[in-house]
Amino acid sequence: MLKFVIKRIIMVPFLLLAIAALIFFLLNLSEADPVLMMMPAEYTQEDYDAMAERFGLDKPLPEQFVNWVVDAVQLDFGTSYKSKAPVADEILFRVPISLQLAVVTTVIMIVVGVPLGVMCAVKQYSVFDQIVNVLSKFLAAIPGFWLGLMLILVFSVKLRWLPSHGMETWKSWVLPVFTFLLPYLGNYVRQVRSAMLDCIRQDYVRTSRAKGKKEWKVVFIDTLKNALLPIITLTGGTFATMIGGAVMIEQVFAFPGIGLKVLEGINNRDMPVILACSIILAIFTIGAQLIIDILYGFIDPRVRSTFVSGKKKNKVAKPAAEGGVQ
Amino acid sequence: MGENLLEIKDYCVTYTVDKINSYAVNHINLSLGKGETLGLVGETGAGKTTTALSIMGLLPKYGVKTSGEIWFDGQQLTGMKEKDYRKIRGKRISMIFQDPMTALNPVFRVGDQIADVIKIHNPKLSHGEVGEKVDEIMKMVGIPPERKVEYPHQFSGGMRQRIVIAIAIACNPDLLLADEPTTALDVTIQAQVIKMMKNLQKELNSSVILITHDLGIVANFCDKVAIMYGGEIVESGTLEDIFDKSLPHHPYTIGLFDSLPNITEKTDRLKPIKGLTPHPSELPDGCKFHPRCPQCMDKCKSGDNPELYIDGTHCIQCHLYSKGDK
Repeated sequence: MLKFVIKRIIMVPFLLLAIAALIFFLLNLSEADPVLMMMPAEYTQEDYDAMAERFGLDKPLPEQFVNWVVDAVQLDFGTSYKSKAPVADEILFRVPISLQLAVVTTVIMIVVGVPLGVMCAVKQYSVFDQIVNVLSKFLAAIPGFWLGLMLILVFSVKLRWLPSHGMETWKSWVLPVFTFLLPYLGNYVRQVRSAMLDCIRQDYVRTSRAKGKKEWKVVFIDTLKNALLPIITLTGGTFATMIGGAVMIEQVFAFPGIGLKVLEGINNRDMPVILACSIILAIFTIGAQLIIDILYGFIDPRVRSTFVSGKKKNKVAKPAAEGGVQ
Repeated sequence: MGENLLEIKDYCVTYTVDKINSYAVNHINLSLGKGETLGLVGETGAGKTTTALSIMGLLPKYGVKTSGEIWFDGQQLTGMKEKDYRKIRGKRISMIFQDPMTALNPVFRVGDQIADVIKIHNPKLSHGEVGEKVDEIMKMVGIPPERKVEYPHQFSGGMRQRIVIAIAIACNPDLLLADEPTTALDVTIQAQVIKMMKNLQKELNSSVILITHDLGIVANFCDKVAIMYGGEIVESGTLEDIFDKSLPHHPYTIGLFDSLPNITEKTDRLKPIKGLTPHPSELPDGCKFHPRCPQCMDKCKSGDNPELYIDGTHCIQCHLYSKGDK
C-alpha cells in the first residue's frame, strides 16, 4: 500500500511537467504575437526588440519553456503581459480563497448530501424520496448566476441579513457558499442515492439483517461502506472542478478567487497568467485524485490486494491452499 | 402443538409489482419438532425461499401481503415487533443463504463478519472472548482461524459457503434455514458441505429446514420432506413416506423422481416433467399442477384445491386420492 502511494506521488511532478508542456506549446500555437499585443499603437523595431527581450520572448520556444519551468519551481510564474506585475503576486493569494470556498462547500455537500441520498435509497419511491428527487433535479437545473442574484436580492437587499460581497466575516461566506453548493448538491444527492440503491438490494445486506443487526447499522455501516467507492470518486471530482469552476460565484459576489483570474488571463491572452493558473488547478486535481486512490485502497480490500506485490501475494496464498484441502 | 418448535398455519405471501399479484406462497401448513430436519423440495419459483424468508421476517417491506400465522417456540412471529424479532434473528433462527459469492460483505474481514453476530446477541462478551468464539466456530466449519483477517474475495466458493454457515451457526440457533446451501457449489464440495452440516446439526441439536431441489441430498440428510409446487405443499411426510415407491404419491412427486436418472436401468433420455413451472402471477385454477399432470381429470381443472389425503404422517393434496372419489 505504502509502495503504491509513493509510486503515485513520484508520478506527480512528471504529470505536472507534461501538463505544463502541453498548455505552453498549445498556447504558442495561436497566431497572436504576445509582444505585439503589449506594444503601444506606434512603436519602433528597437522598442519591439526591447520588449521581447524583457519578457524573454526573443529566445526559441523550448528554451522559453525550460526557463519557465525553472522559475515556476521557485514559485516565480513570470510577469503578466497585461499588468506587468509578477504573476505570483496576483495569483498565489487567491489560491487559499478558492481552496477555502471549495473545501467548505464540499464538506457541507458531504454532510448534507450523503445522509439525504442514503435516506432516499432506503425509502425508495416514498413521498420523502420523491420530494427530494424533484428538489434535487430542480437545484441541479438552476443556473448559478441567477441563484446568486436572487439570494443577494432576498438576503442582502431586502432582508439585509447577509452582506452581498466581500469576505470579511463568516457571514459574507454564507451566500457564496450556498450559491455554489446548491446546484452541485442536487446532483450529488441523486448520485449518492443511486450508488446506495446498487448496494442495498445485495445479498450481503440481507445477511446483515439476518444477523439481527439494527437497521441503521445495516444501512450506514454495512451498506454505505460498499457504496462509498462511487461516492468518493464523485466527491473528489466535484472538489477538483470546484476549485477552478467558481467563476460565476466569484463574479457575482466579487470574490477574489482563481477562476475569475483564469478567465481574465484568457481574455487578455496573458500567457503567464493562464499557465500559472492551469498548473495550480492541475495540482489540486491531481492531489484530489491521489487522495481518492488512497481512500479506495483503505475502503476496498479488493483494490488493496491488487497493490500487493507478487512476493507478498504468494505468502498470503499459501495458507489458502492448505485450508482448501480440508 | 406445544412440542413443535415451528408451526406454520395457513400461511400466504403475495407480492404485488405494478398491480400484478404474484401468489408466491399459498396456504401452506408446516410443522417441525426440535432436532428434526425437514427437506423443502421444489422447482425454482415454487415459493421455497419466500417461505424461509417469511420465517426470518426478512420479506421485502413493500408490495408484500401475508396472511396466516407462524409460531416459533410458543411465540407468534407473524406481526411481531421488529425490535423483538431482531433478538430472534441470528440467535434462535438463522439462515444459510443460497449464493456464497454474494452473501458475504466484500469490504469487511470474514472474522469480523462472524464476530458481528456474536456481538449483537452477546453484548457483554469482551473483545477477546468474541475472538475466541470466532476461532472456535471457524474450526468447526473447517477453516483455519488464522484466516479470519482475510476478506471474502480471498476465499473460494466452498470456503465462503463455510463462512456463511459459520455466521449462521455462531449463536447455536434452535432453527437453521438452509436455502439451497450447495446449489452454487460443485459436486465434490457439495458432499463436504452436506457432511459438515450433518455433523454440526448433530453437535448443536438444531432443527433444520433444508431447501433444495436435489432429492439426493434430501435422502441423505432429512427426516421429513415437503414437496412444494406453485406455492403449495402438494405432498409431505417422513422420508420413508415420500421415498417409498409402493405408497401413493402426488403426480408431481412421481414426476420429480422419474426425472432422475436411475442407476439400475439403462435409459438414453431423462424423463422431464412436461411443461414449465407456472409463474406465480398466472397460477391456473383448480389444482396448480393440472396443466402438466399426466393423470389430469376434469375436476382438477377448476374449483378449490383438492382435499388432503392423509395416511398417518403422509399427506397428499390430489384428487386422485380424495375420499369418495373412486
